Order: sequence, then C-alpha cells, then structure tokens
Amino acid sequence: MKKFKLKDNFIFLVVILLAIVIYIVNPVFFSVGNLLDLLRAISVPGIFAIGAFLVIISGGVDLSFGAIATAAMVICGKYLEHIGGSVFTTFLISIAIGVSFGALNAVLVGKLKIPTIIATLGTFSIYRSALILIVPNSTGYGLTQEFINFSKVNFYGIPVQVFFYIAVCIITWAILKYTLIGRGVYAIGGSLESSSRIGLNIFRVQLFVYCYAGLLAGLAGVLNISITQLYSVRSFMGVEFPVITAVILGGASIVGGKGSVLATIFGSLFVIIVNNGLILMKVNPYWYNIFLGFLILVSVSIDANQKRILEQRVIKVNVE
Amino acid sequence: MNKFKLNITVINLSIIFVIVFITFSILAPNEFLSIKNFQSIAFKIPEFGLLTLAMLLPMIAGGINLSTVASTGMIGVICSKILSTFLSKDASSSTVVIWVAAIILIALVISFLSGLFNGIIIGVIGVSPILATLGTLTLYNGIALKTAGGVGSITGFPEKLLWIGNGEILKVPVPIIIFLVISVIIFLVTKTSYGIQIYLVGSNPVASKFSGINNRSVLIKSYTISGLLCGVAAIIMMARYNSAKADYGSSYLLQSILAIIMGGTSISGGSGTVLGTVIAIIILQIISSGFNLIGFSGSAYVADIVWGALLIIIITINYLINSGRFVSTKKFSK
Repeated sequence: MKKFKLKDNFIFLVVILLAIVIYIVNPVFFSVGNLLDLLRAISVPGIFAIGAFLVIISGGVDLSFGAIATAAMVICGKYLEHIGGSVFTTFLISIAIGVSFGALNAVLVGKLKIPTIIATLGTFSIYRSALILIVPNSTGYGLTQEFINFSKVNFYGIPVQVFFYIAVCIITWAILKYTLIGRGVYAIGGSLESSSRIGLNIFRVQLFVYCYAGLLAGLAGVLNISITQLYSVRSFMGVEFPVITAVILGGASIVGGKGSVLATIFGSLFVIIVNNGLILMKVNPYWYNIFLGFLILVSVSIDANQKRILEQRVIKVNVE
Repeated sequence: MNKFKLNITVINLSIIFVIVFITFSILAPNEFLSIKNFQSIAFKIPEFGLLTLAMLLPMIAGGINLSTVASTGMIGVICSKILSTFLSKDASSSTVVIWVAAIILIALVISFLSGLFNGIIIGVIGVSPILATLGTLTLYNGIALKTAGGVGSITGFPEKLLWIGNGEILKVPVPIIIFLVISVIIFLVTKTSYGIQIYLVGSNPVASKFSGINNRSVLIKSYTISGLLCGVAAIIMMARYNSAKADYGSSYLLQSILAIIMGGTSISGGSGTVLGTVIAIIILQIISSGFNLIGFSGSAYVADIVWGALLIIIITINYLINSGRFVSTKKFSK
C-alpha cells in the first residue's frame, strides 16, 4: 500500500485517460444518466471479477463461474416463477448453490490435485450442458412483485445492485487484508510448497477460495435477474474471458500471489468503459475487440518487460 | 518414467476407445456400424483435430495457445473477403485454379504471421502464454469481426476449393487425409532434435537454457507451427461449409484443450504425444456423433457432459496411478 505500484497505477492512468478522451469526443459521458448506466453495467461482471481475482491470486484459474451463475440464476428464476418465494430466500438459495458448486471445484482441485484450469473447465462443461439439458428453453419473466420491487430499489438514484458490488469489494478487501485465511490465499498463490511447510492447511484455504468464488457467482446470477428482469440459460455465455481480462488488466499475476481488489475494480471499470465509450464516441463497435486485444498485449508486455528488468538487476547484485 | 507414463495413457485411452465403441455398437447397431457413419465421423474429425494438434506443441512447451480458434476465424474471413472481392463468378477455370492456390498460400502466410506474432510476444518479450494468447485471441477476433463487418457469414466459393472440404479419394474424405498427413508430420517433428527440445523447454526451461538450448527460438517455432495448423484448419473449414464466419468453431477452443489433456499432455508442460492426442480426438468425436445417432434431444449437451466427466475421471485416474508409484517425486500441482 505504501509503495507506489506501477502496475496498479498503469490501469488507473489508462482509465482516467480513456475517460477524458471519451469526454472530449462526447460530453454525454459524464452525464448522471450515463454514469448510472455504467454503475449498473459494472455490478454483475464486477462481482464475477472479484471472484475470479480471488482464485487467480491463489494460483488458479476459474472458468466455471459463468456456469455456476447460470445455474443459480435459472434455479432461482424458476423458484420465483413457480413457488414465488421471498427475496431473502431467493438469495439464500443462490448462495447455497454457488457455495456447493464451488466446494465441488475445491475438492477436485485440492483433494484430487487436478490442475485448476482443467478441473473448472470440466465442471464448466458439465454444469452448463446439464442445465441446458434439464431446462431447455428456459427464458422466463414471471417474477414475483416483491422481487421486482426489490430490484427497483435505489438510493439517490443509485441502484441497489451497485451497493451489493461495493459491499462485495469491501468485504473481500477486508478478508484479504485482515484475516488469516485471506493472507493464506496470497501465501498459497505465492508458493504452495512454502505455505504448506509453514503449516498452512492448504485445502482449507482452497475450499474457502472456491466456495467464496462460487458464492459470488451465485449472488451475481440473482443480481442479473434483478437487473434484466428475466432469466435465461444463455445469459452468461462467453462471460469468462472478458472477466478474466479485467482481472489481468488490473494487474493480478496469473501465476498467483499478487494483485489487489482496488486494481481489479479498475480493471473491470476499464472493460466496461471501453465498451460504453466506443458507443458514445460512435466508433464502429467492431473495433472494440481489436482495441481491447491491443491493450491487453501492451499491458502484459509492459509487465513482462518490467519483471525482466527487475530480474536482471537481481542477478547483477548477486554477481557483485 | 516418461515412457512408462506414456504407455499408461495410451493403454487407458485404448480401453476407453473400445468401451465407447462397443457401447454405441450395442445402443445403435445399425446406424453406428455403417460406412455412412464412419464417413461422417471422418468428415468431422479434421477441423477439430487440427485445432487440437495446433494446441499440442505449445502445451508440450509448457504454454497454451488460446488464440487458435480466433486465428482460424480471422484467416477464414480474410481469405473469403479476398476471394469474393477479386474472383468474379464467370472467371475461366484456369483463373479459378490459380486463385484457389493463391488463397491457400495467403491463408498459410497469414497463419504463419499470426503464429509468429504469438511466438514473439511469448518468446522474446516473455509474456506468459495464457495472457499473450488471451490478448491475441481478442485481437484476432476483433480483426475478423472488422473484416467481415459483423457476425454474418461470407459465402460462395469456387467448386475447386470446396473439393478440399467435401471431396473423396477412393471413398476416403479428403480432409481426413490432410489431417492424417499432418498428424504424421507433427509426430515426426516431435521425434527430431527440435521436438525433444520442446519437451525439455516444457519440463524445465531453466535447465534447458543452461544446457545450451535456445528457449526463445524453440518457443517461437512451436507457436508458429501452431499458427500454420490453424491456417490449414481454416482452409478446410472454409471448404467444408462453403462459408466463413468470425466465430466459426468457437466451441472448439475448450474442447480442444480437453482433448489434449485427455490425450495425456500435462498442463504444466514437458509431456504429451501425438498418438495419445489423436486417439483422444477420435474418442471425443465418436461420443458426439454417437449421441447424435441415438437421437437424444439436445444430444450435443449430453456429449458435453460425458466429455467433462471423462476429463475429470481420466485426470483423477492418472493422478491416482502416479501418486501410488511415484510418491517420492510427487509435485505440488498448481
């Protein structure tokens, strides 16, 4: 925190620069309406990014969060439509689904030692396909009035979903900074072997990481219903790469051990702003991916280059 | 140890192959055991198979190439754009032949460059492969979308090009012949001294560097070969569907990683064989065709579930076998 982190700073500067450029081209960008749109747009992918971020700093990659969120969303949607439960129980169900699917990931990764990318790829493929198979054509609108009222709650115009996002960010930050298990997440990401030698219960940390990521995915699933007022099996198709991109742009190291919640927020903000800004600047939307891809490459190249310079310095010191 | 492990994987896969084959023969004897079915499987294997083989060398070298499908889409779209712009419908047959040859060459050049670009970012700049190819995935996809002007498809190619995707030589589909030839070439590549260097770089880059291997050039070459295979896959896909689209084959990305892992390649690099990978590709294709034949509604999803389950089961079995016999060399997996 005290040190001036260049990587955190990089994404921060890019976001500010981007905002200024967009503002110059189209002043609507800083209008209250557009800012509220941005906030609403960021809350669901932002929560995904926090979950993916946690898994990435623990040294893994989670590809299954979209599938878990879809499962939570569809089951909760059906529950609201056919049984008509309260908002509170809906959230409870979504969290229970998220945590149990997350726990399954944790067992595969922690107990069976399957590399995370493969384990979550496998569960992704199973969850998603099973869901489509069991509930084909499940797009539904029949929500309860209570749920609809809940989703329209706002404080001074700021929608309730944004507060969920903010709460998730603060809680995650606090867990990572102040609790033993939170420090453990960084530790196992930094070095699995050293953290096991100092007596950390690695499986417990992994269980926490994947359950927490699952919980956030479940939560995001229900929040998505409240934003779009419908649920669909296909809502989260292809959400994985943009979210992981946001986390990586935020500077979390893909091999684990490094990254901050704040930078992840900026990473998510960046991806959302690029999307929103290109529309506001009336740029042909087909440029979006070219621009994003180019930025990812520049960002990771700068990072790799800095790391190499750092390593060269270390070697020089050793020689002297 | 490596040889021993390899045998286990190939034996495992052969057993699964036999089980899968017998299961479908019992469930749908008439449809499954027909020449027509085998022909249809043979037509479907090449595009998926080539995209999977494209992933193999980078993964043996300890990396991954997430940009395969995106670059295939990009090449297909650019080539069809060129064809539809420059080749008029009433061109003479010799002009068409020249254009088809030219377009194949163009596809290979673009694929070479896109692979080389990956290789340079990973090998020279030193970006981790998963990030670099995530970036190029987005970039190539963007270029494809921009060129095609959206997600629509570009259609209408000359007959001569379509033959590559749909023709037959002595009842054997042309694409499967191309696939087999390329598999043999890649197999031979893994046996050359360059191939062995890929394994060394994958299992321990520091050791390989200090034993005089040019890690940088090994990595660049492996991603370039990977790119070239995407180019071949792009030509076959264009020819088979008579159209090109930015997101053709996007479902193949995760499936090809799955096939590679199932084929016995370790995600951390240093192991993996062409033989295992090819058997895995065939098994996966038989499963998806088989469920289609049985005629489940949503058969593609049943196949997906079986794939996912197989992946986890195979990795678990491999882990249990390895942990039982090589306790002392047990590594911490990330």
